Amino acid sequence: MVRLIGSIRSIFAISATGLVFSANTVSAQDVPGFNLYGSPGLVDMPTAYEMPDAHLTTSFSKMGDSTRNTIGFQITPRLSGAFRYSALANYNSVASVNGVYYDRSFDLRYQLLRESNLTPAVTIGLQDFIGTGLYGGEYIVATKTLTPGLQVTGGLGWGRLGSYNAFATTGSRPAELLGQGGIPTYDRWFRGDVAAFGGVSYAPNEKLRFKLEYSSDRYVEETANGQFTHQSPWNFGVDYTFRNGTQLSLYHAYGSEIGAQVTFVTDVRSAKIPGGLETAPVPVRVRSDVRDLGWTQDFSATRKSSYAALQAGLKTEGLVLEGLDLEAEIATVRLRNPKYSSEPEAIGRTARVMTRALPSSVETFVIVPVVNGMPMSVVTLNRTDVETLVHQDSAAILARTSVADAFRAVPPTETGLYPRLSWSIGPYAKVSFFDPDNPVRMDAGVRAKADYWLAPNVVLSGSVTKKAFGNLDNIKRFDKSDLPRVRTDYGKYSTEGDPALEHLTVAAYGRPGKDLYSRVTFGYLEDMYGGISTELLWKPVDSRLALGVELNYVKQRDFDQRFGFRDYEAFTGHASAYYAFGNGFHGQMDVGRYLAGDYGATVALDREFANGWKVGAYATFSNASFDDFGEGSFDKGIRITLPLQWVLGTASRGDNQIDIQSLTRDGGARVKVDGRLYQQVRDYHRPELENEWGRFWR
Amino acid sequence: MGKVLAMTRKTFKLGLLACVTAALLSACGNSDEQATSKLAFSTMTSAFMAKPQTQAATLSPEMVGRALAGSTGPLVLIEIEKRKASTLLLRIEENGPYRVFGTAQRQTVTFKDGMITSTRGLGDDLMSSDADALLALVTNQKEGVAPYTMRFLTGEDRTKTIALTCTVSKGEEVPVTAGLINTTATLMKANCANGEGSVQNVFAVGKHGYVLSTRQWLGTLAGYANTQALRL
Repeated sequence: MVRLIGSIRSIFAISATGLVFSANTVSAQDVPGFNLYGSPGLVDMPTAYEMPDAHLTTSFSKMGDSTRNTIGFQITPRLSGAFRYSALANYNSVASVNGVYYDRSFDLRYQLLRESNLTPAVTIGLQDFIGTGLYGGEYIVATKTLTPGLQVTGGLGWGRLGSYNAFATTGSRPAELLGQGGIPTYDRWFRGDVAAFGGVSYAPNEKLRFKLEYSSDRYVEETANGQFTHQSPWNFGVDYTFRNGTQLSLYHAYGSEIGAQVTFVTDVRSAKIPGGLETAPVPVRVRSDVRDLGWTQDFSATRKSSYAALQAGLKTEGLVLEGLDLEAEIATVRLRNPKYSSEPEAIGRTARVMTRALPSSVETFVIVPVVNGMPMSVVTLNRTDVETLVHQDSAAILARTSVADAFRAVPPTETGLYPRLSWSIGPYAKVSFFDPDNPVRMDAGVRAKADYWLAPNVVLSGSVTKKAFGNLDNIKRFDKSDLPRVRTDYGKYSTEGDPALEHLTVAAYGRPGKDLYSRVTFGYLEDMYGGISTELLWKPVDSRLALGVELNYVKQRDFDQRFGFRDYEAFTGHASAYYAFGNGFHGQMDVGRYLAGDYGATVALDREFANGWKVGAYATFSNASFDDFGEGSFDKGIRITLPLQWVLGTASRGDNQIDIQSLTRDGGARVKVDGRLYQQVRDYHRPELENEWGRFWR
Repeated sequence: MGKVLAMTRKTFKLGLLACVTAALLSACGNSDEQATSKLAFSTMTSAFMAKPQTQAATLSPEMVGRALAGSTGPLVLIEIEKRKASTLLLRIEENGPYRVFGTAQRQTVTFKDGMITSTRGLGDDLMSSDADALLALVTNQKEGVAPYTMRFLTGEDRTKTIALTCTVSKGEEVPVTAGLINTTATLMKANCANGEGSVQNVFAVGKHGYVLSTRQWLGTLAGYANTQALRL
């Protein structure tokens, strides 16, 4: 009687000829080859091609004594940037450590012209444009694909890229550094000798690429101070591209060196499993009789059973019901979301559970997400809309959803939920980069953490580490500084702080008024400072602009990171403006007084993605003179946030932020404090919710 | 009383000791962050240690028979061709013309008159679709052309719309014998395409205009799914 799937297929007798749509992953053909600098290029020279938008690359290359590690990002379809940490072995310089010279550099490239049928792509680039300029060079380069797989490149180079066989000169190129290094070397750009470079690449298939180039770089410094021998301008290379996009390259360069490189390519807008693998939400239950008000006769019993059903339903979804206001036609839920980094998904799942838990007469669903006791917004939905729009595009329910300010609009917490303890004991790892004595240092051990909520908005928080092994404690480097040593003693904190009290604070959060959010944190704020930190944020619920003020009075902690303090005290604080441009870019500006008493401003620009990825850069300009600041002239860096949800393929609010500061100096330094308001608040405001709304019905 | 307290304290101490030991390898506690690290750890270990999981491939007739006997209400058998796995779907909710079916693993598939309109929990889910015009042709067993829209999430969590035009043609009449279904149906074939590609969906339509069995494309990751109603 029973026939199974196997037979269904035979009924259909379909040949598997269905041409299926390509996946989100970019095919290997769209990703260019990379040169030794980790930029789109041939062997050592650039090409005019760009990576596809929003691609992140990490490349490690070694050619002779030169090691270059580069992180590159396609900031917009035409603009890309790169940060590089390089090591030159057997290099004779006062800055060399054990014969190795370490250097950090930044690049920017802009594609001026797109390739067309007849004209090539043209790109202008600045290489190592901030800093000491070891790799400093500028170029204009054109690349054209002649037949599929065959590409020719030709360009003009200045600086390093104009050092071999120059045919002309444009002005003079100064050799002195501006400031203490670390500021844009604009006085050199496109000046001095000009030389031509070029090459050909041929890819017989998607996996292999052969490259031949004529380099205009004579490796002047490496020849003079190192053991490099420039025998020929001709370089040869072969790339192999794996299925996941990783490229492996082998080179023979300058007639004397061999080289190898691996480049990892990540499209931050793709995912292994788009939409994630988390379990299905509960289906919406449609009411049969919406006029059923009989339950109001026995209000307290119905409220109790509704609360219990709602609480259980939300718990299954990983959400926490903290309170419920139930009336005949309206129900307000106080919601805590520890699980979903896509906040609309948390709200959508809550609305679904509400359809199954609340009496039929309730027509208006009000959901108030709460973070650290602060109600963040009032999200209001009609139950009828939830019932009728659940099987449609998520845009339909968005058009029917209102998001309002939540000042004084949240139900009280249910008794018994607070006080609440959250604790964990787990492994930790601390990594330090860029110390020339030892470019990568690491400590690993055990960290115990606890958060104890005395009330929904008052939290006592502490964290202690005990090192198991590592080498952060033998930092011997002493950075000279003419400013108060507010950050440059980091080595002493690492050496003496074991066990270390990372922080021990009490924090109180509040909503002092409409559009206003507040925080007061007191105690051992971070590893180096203790004191009091206060913050006030103005952020209307549908605004892309927020303004904030933070005032801190801090005292420097003892190096052993226990309870004692050192003599240094500082009054530090900033006025901040935050703006989400709406096209994925986010800007922030902080103006105020830094830890060393210097005044100035920090500007930051990030590109943010709805899936949680962020890639950005910041720079601080303070009145600490370049001489006082020392090497690097001013503080700057890049930062990348990697969402755990993206890594795991299932819902998680965790993320991993990687900060790459060009140098740790004392100027432009801010106190670190947990629980800064803006990121907590914006998650549940209209612009952010709209951004991630596609997951509402997920 | 004192004894109980002492015991509790002892257990707590032991628990803490175990926790500290475990902390060197993984993590313990009750915080959200800790839950995340546990999840990360289990994902990592399963990725590195576990053998690839093979789901029970085709269900045996006995299993289907047992499922029919042990439940009431509509039952559908679904097979994801690529994954070579089939499972039973039980109707768990009804919403107008939409019927939501669920698996034991908390995945759901929503049907409208027997055609799949959305999925949840399969990965790269079909978030929603506009299939009314296509469904009208199919269920009325009429040939013609109809628009068909499928929506997915991209890796960036944006809604991606695939707009297709389907050419529907009528095929032969076939017997459909599965579970408690024993009837004949007409094959309606829909060749759905846009500039980027095409998919071929097939629907076996029963006498009352209800789709009894389908072969439907559900997206890049899942590929084609076959469904068979076992009890309406």
